[in-house]
Amino acid sequence: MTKAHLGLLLVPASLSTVLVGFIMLTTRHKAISQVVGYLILENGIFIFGMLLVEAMPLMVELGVLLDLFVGIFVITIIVNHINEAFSSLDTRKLSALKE
Amino acid sequence: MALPWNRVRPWLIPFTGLAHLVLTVWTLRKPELQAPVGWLVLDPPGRLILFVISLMFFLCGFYTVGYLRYRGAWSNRTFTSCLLAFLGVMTLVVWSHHLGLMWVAIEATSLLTAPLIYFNRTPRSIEATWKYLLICSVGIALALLGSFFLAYASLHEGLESSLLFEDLLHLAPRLSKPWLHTAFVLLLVGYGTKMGLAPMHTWKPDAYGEARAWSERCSPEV
Repeated sequence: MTKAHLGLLLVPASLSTVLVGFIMLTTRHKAISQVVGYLILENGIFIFGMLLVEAMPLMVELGVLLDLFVGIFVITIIVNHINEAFSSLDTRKLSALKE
Repeated sequence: MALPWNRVRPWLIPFTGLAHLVLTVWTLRKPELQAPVGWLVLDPPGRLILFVISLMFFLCGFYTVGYLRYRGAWSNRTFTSCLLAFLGVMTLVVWSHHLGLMWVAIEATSLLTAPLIYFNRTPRSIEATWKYLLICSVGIALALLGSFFLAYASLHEGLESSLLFEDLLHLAPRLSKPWLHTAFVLLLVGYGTKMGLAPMHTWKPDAYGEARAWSERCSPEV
């Protein structure tokens, strides 16, 4: 196994993308922006996954891809229902359940 | 789910639970049974957890029949199919001996639970589903990052990278320490969010308040 991957900028790029995703997730109020933040976070993780192309089996990669696809699918359905039930996408209105 | 009758369909749950329980006991009595691939191994803690899950599902199945009869007017097709798929994926979590495969199965459990929480279709249950989905998805994404870090810890030292539990145990002393520490923190936070460990448990009261009987989940940490 060579160490050619050490010179690449993949690790800093992936970490900064993950952090940008987190900032987007925590500072936005609209539900759809939070979903976009989650997608950016996942993109950052996949940039890191570029380092491991040889290590991860194809089945696992396909499983991860399928899970993310279905996940975004389900989340978007829920966002749609939020829009119908609260007539806005503002997550500050989702405050009925308190501990 | 070809059964058209809303009243008969819930009985699929205890019957599947019974079949699962019988097969589980049969598997536990034959320890020499091995899956053809090395990814699926049933280790000693896995045996106990698989048995507990199977028994719990079987017993909760009867409760579910009564609950769905009480809610007779609503279609329970999605509910039943998601619950049965949940049992299957949960079994895969216990069996999998590959960190990537386990991640896929755990993420699938959280996706399959979302329709169960949303069953009541009230604004409150939408809120609980939204919080559950977002918090758990982000937590599990962190766990995926942790798994990648763990795979990279061996690549960084010039070793062959693998996420099989046996290989990881075998290679453990030679892995790169800083990457290993970071991977541990990320895996703890990630799967801790799914399990509901103390600082990351905020989704739990909401989701359990809206979906009463479905607290039979347990994420086995090996």
